[in-house]
Amino acid sequence: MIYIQINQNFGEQTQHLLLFIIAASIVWLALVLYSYKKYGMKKTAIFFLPMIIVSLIIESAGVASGRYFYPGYILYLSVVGGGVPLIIILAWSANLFLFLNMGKHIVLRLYNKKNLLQIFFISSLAGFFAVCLDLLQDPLAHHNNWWIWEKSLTGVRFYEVPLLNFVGWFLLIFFMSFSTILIERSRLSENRKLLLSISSLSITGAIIFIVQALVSRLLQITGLS
Amino acid sequence: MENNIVSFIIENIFLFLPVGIAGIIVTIYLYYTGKKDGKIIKDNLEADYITFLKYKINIFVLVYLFIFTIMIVIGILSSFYIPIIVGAIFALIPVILIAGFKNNKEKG
Repeated sequence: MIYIQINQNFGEQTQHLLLFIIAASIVWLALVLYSYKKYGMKKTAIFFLPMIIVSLIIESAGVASGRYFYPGYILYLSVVGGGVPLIIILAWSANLFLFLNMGKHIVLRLYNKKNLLQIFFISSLAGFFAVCLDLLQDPLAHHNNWWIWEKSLTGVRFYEVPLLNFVGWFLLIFFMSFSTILIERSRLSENRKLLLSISSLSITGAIIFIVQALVSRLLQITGLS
Repeated sequence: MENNIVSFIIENIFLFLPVGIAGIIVTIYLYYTGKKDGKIIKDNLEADYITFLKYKINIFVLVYLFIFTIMIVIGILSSFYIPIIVGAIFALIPVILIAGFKNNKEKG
């Protein structure tokens, strides 16, 4: 079930995949280096590593469920049966760091109190920003076959991309931002925070799973999915 | 992130459940046994700005605009014009919001 696969046919079925991979690699590298320079090694790991793990599990489950797949990449990883390109997992971790900080830049100017409400505002805004960018990125990705959605999917679509995809983007970035800031702001030691950021994925993952299931059901009842 | 992921996890519940329960126990242990004497570090937003040609630019907005530009270029190369224009309108909202709030704060 757990495997690493190297694809010999790079770029098959796709268009402009190399440009996408280069851009995503530059973004990931720039953000990791910036985080390392500003926060140091342990905090950088707290920001990036949990999202790498959680996105690997979610994406692998998504591919294994047969709803979408990734053709033409070089290196694939799998934990629960579905192959996910390494660059996709890295891109998710860059997304979290980017949107979380963009959210901070607005919320901290408007609401100074360091409490749960502030974390909620930052996380909500981070999730909203992620959806804004995905409305540009996902239709383009589907058009160029960077990832392909199953045609049999029903419900509301935005240029062939199912509505639930955008709900998923919001939920993932929202809950991961919330748990990341919560751990970052705790008064525990850096080592303890790092361990906690990994172990708490079971709680964050379970919450994402339950909320995603409820929203999916709600959208099915209303005929949107 | 699709509906079937939920079904997939339920079908493989005997894989996910033990890992999940172990994670929750470890999290509770780590949280309650750790000494809470670490320092609270203040968020330094000014450190996220770089100066380029006398202009102060937010490094995260810069990275975001880089992604935005690459997507637009690929969209044009793919002749995918209308979805790119519609998507670009949505994708510019975060940039407008950050620029707007920064200007308002500076004026205030």
